[in-house]
Amino acid sequence: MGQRKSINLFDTKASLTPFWQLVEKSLIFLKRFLLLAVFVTGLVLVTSYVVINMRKTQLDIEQKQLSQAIQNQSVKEGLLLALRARIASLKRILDAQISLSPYIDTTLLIARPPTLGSFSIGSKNTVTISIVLPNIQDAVAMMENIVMLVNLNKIKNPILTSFTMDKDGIVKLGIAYSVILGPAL
Amino acid sequence: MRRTRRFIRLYKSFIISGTIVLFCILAIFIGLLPGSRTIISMGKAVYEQSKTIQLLEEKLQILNALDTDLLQTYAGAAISAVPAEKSLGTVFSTIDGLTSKEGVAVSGISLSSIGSVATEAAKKLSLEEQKIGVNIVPFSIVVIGPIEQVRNVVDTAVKIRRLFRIRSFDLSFDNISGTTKSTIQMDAYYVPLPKTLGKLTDSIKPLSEDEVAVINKINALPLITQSIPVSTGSSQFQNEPRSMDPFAP
Repeated sequence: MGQRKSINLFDTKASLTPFWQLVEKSLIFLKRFLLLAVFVTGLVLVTSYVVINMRKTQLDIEQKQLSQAIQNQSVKEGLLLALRARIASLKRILDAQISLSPYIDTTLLIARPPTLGSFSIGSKNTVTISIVLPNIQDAVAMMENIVMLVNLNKIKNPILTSFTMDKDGIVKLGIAYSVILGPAL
Repeated sequence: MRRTRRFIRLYKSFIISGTIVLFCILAIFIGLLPGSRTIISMGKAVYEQSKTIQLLEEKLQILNALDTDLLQTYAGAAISAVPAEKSLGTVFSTIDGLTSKEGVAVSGISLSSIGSVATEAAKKLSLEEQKIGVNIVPFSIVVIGPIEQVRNVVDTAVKIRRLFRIRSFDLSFDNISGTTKSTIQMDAYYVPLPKTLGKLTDSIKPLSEDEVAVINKINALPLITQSIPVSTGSSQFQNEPRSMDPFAP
């Protein structure tokens, strides 16, 4: 009863040609390979997504906490930044500071009031002075003094800008010279 | 119908395998490739965020290590040397203290340019200001006294806490009155406080040895005036939400 007999004389099981059988085998192999690849890659991607997402959540929390902690110290940070900017300005100012006292010191080596009539500092470190002397001998002595100061490297490039002598023998001299300055601080 | 059934029976394996292969190819292009791209970009974002967090940790570490009291002391010294505003009061009181100390009389004091009283918006930086990178208040004083004492004023003026620069110096001797009159043209400096803090993720560094040396040098200078310039609300940082005044008491 369990056996079923066919009375069909033709073979009902159609078979493929060897070429198509080869194609079928290749297709089955490709199917298995692709299924495995998609499954494994999908698994890797899902796992990576979960791991990265967890890490991102963790980092978000960490960043929020750090940001809050830094925000709480913003006064300190502002103080540091403002101080740094100001120190940079202070440094530039200190570098630009020069003392003019050497100008006066060198002038005092030449003459003092009331002989020294006027004194002014011009551009390029030049000093212009006017001197009033009672006689020509004092003027000559003054010139010798200036030459000596040049030799001692106290002043440089002295120029006699004016020379006048009135009927009473009073001599008025205009002298310009340069001084090399060092930093003030 | 029979032919169809026969075809299906014959090529059943091809149909199933082909459908699965097609499904897999679609899965690759629709799911795996975009998913990979998303995960790669997420990975890059996480890497960047890790670097940001590392930077924030370093920044917090530096901030924690900073001594607020010391910074405030430094800031006080810096502000007293170069105020945040013109602070003409400290200019006048310093000149007063300086000339009193050296024993000369001030017969006149004047601001040399209109710009020195102009508002920040109206005032353009001069070439000199641009060169030094700070704002200048030019003024001149006329002092009467012996030349030696005037010389001391000139010498000390550039060695005190409220930083001044002497632009030029003229001296004349009046034979009739016997007095020495000196006109000293000077500059006082001021630097407005920075208005912004920058980004939270901007890195910071503690003060370097050179910077501390500069501030110590300033701190060592004598403070002649008792008037300490105080910054006002106009110099507050303005960067929402990170606005603050670091020099506020």
